Amino acid sequence: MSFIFRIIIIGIISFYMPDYLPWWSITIITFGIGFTFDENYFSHFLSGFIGVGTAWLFLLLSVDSSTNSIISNKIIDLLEISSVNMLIIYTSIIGGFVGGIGNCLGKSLRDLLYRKKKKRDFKF
Amino acid sequence: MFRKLIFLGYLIFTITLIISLNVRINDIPPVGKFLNPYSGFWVNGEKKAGDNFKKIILEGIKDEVIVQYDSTLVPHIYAKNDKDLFYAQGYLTAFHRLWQMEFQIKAASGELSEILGEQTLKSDISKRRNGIMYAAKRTLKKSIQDEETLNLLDSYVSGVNDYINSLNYKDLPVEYKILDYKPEKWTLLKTFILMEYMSDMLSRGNSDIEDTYLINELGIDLYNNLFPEYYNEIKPIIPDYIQFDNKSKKNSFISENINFNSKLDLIPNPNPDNGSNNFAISPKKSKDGSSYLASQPDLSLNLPSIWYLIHLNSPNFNTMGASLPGAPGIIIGFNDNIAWGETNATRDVVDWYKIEFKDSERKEYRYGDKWLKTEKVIERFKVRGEDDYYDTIIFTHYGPVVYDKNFGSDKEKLNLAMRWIAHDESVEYKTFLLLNKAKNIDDIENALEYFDGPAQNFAYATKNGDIGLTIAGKFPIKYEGQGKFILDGKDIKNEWQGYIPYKNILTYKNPKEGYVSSANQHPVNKTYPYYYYSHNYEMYRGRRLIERLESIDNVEINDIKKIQNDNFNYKAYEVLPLILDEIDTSKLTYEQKIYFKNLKNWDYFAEVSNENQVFFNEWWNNLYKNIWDEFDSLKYPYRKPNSFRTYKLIKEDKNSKFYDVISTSKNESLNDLINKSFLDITVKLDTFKKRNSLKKIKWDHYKNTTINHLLRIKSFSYDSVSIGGYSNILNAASERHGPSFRLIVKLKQNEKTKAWGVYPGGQSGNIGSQNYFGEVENWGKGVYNKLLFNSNYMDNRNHIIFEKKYNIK
Repeated sequence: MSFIFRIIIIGIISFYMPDYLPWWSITIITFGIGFTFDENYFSHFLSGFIGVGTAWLFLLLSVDSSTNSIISNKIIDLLEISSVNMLIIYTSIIGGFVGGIGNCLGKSLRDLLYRKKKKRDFKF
Repeated sequence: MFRKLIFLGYLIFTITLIISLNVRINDIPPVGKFLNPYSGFWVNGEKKAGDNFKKIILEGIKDEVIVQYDSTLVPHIYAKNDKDLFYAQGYLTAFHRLWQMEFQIKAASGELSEILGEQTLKSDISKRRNGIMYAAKRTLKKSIQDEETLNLLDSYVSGVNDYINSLNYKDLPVEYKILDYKPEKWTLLKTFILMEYMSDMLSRGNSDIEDTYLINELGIDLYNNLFPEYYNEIKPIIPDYIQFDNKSKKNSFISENINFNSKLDLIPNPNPDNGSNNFAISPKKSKDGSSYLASQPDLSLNLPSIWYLIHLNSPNFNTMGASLPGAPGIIIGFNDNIAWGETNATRDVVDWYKIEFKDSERKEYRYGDKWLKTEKVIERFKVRGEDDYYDTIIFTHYGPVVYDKNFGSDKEKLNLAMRWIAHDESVEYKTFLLLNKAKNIDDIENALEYFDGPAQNFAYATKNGDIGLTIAGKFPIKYEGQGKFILDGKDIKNEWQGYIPYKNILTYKNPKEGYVSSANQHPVNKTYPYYYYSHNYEMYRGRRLIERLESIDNVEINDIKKIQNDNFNYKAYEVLPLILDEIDTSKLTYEQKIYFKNLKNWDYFAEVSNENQVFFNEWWNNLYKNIWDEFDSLKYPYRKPNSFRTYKLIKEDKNSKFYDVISTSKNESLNDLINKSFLDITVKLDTFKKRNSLKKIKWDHYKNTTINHLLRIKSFSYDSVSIGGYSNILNAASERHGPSFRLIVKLKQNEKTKAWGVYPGGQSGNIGSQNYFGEVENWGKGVYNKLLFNSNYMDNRNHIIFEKKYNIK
């Protein structure tokens, strides 16, 4: 449950992030989530990746279709990318990756500050 | 400890990742910054043309201002005072063209390497050595002494700056995002650099150094034979029947030729096709008693376009036409009472002086029997991604020493100082601001007195029915032949002998023939008491234009459109019958005979789908190359005789030694050359057809007129426009060059001024706008837009897509 929940929070905040903030502010969100929730790295990375990636995907699809791909068709030529769809996918992956790493950073700080008791209980 | 390491590892990785996605690496835009959906390039897309007009906030106005945009995105500004008017012009021009405005200034002032890195350093050095900044500073100093001009210029500058200050990263034009830099503050100086940018494009061309080498190499007789100063066959701009009688004033000092023979890496001349045509028709030659003005400047075709259409209205002004982004007022246009347009007044206003330094310190140089002091200026070049570069430029009283041991010249002893009229202080903007509100021909003549350069042939027409043409600009008085070749800087007699006074400049009005016209040909017959010269007078467009104007009467708007879009190839008309006559048809195959027959029946019009034009163009280039192949063995920079001289050679001298192709052992005759090149071209065209599986080659496809984005990014450029014509044709659209604007104005008493115009591009410089390519296709087809021009903004209401009243806060 927490996994889906985290994705939804990250997704919504990334989708509505104000455009005057620098683009990498998404890592601040995912960092916070990573710090708050006690999950493993893989689960954290994936929730950041999917959350930000999906939000970007929708943002990109909507901005591109509302502007009739006029600008993206010119930019793919400049970047030597085969199609606008590929550019949207690449961009979403980049966003997702940066988001996921933010999660992991949060998680690693959490690990540093709070010792995990459960793990010890399990072992001994 | 382990956890600390993991955290530290993630921290470093996250920061590195963000930074590396936020900077430009190896010419790739900063990936994260550029691609993100919040502020990346995506948000530069426009939903429909002009959906961002709401972002316009005119904060600096002193009174109410109304802004309207018509469907072609031309802004119409209605202000209550002139300062607000020019403030809004600056703001709205930047709104559509900011990146271009700044980029052009960076290019002209030699600061492009700050943005583009080492690839542009050489061009930057040449701009600084040509003294463009030096010229702009001097012109600024002089112009700000005139308070009225200064006030209006200041308002324009603050309009541009208010727009720049309103921008966040996400609002920046996309080119800034691609190259990852920010716009700087606009300044008065930048507006003056723009004028020098125009001078660099229009008045810097010369062949003095090349010709010095050529005259030494060829000898005086052959040089004069191949490069005559002008031709009697060509009608000058000022009609031949106008004679001058004060011949005695001509100074006939003969200077000694400099013996010149050395390697020089020359700064390239501006495009030799930078030219134009313009004409005015008087009421008696028009059908309904109107006067007409037609203007068509031929320049490099770029996107965003060099021109920006705008309509300016205030109690003092009601003027419309093409402005230069970065400069206040209208450059080619009209108002309620008059219309004007310029073509380049080709003339040699650059001379080179050989400088003899006292010693290697280069602190003094010889002048007569004295030593004069030099001034050393150290220029610093910021180069993106590299260390700064420094260049020392030495200034003499003539101007900057452009070529010396540090630049272009490999010899310590060859130092050439440039004397260029553009280096002089001047007040051009005053001319335009006065012209913009001129009411009659006297006002026009008064305005032109302040125009120093780049020298232009101003054609004008008024509602009163007057027409006229003035070759305005500051021209040096020279002795016969002065400045054709490198001059000896030691010799005081080689100084320019002053300037032609305004009362003696070339001008005429209301001629009996009912029209005035110009197309970059030589200005006047040789009775003019002042020496003039250019290596680059036009030989064809002027003749065609005069012949067309002579042949029509009861002129209407469509006659004028037809002239501006005229594709008649005068060169072909002149030379093709001569060379076709030499073809030995008995040896031709069936296919070759078809080419021959088609050429024979051609009407010489270079229309869009014409194949004969393709054939002729290739044939002529091949012939020209083979005739003058002797020149290709020259070691140092040179030029070749022009097409017209080549035509005369073919016509008048069947036995010239130039017909021999030196790379072959055979001694070719003219007939050999013509027949061989004819066959070569049939093969070439057949191959082209086969490769592209075509039955017929279309001229527009073959010529491939392209309108390049200033950064030459292919998808930002418009490839292969369907348009006829070529260089030396009135519709001068060649590969990268052509009519950058077409304007026709009709002035009739008791009627509103009517105007039609089109240029290849859109008002919006935003590649994400539907308007970006604008009128390119219409321009190619010769279709014009009727320009919306009303002195009351209410009358525009049916034709606009946006209107807003701005009030003071």
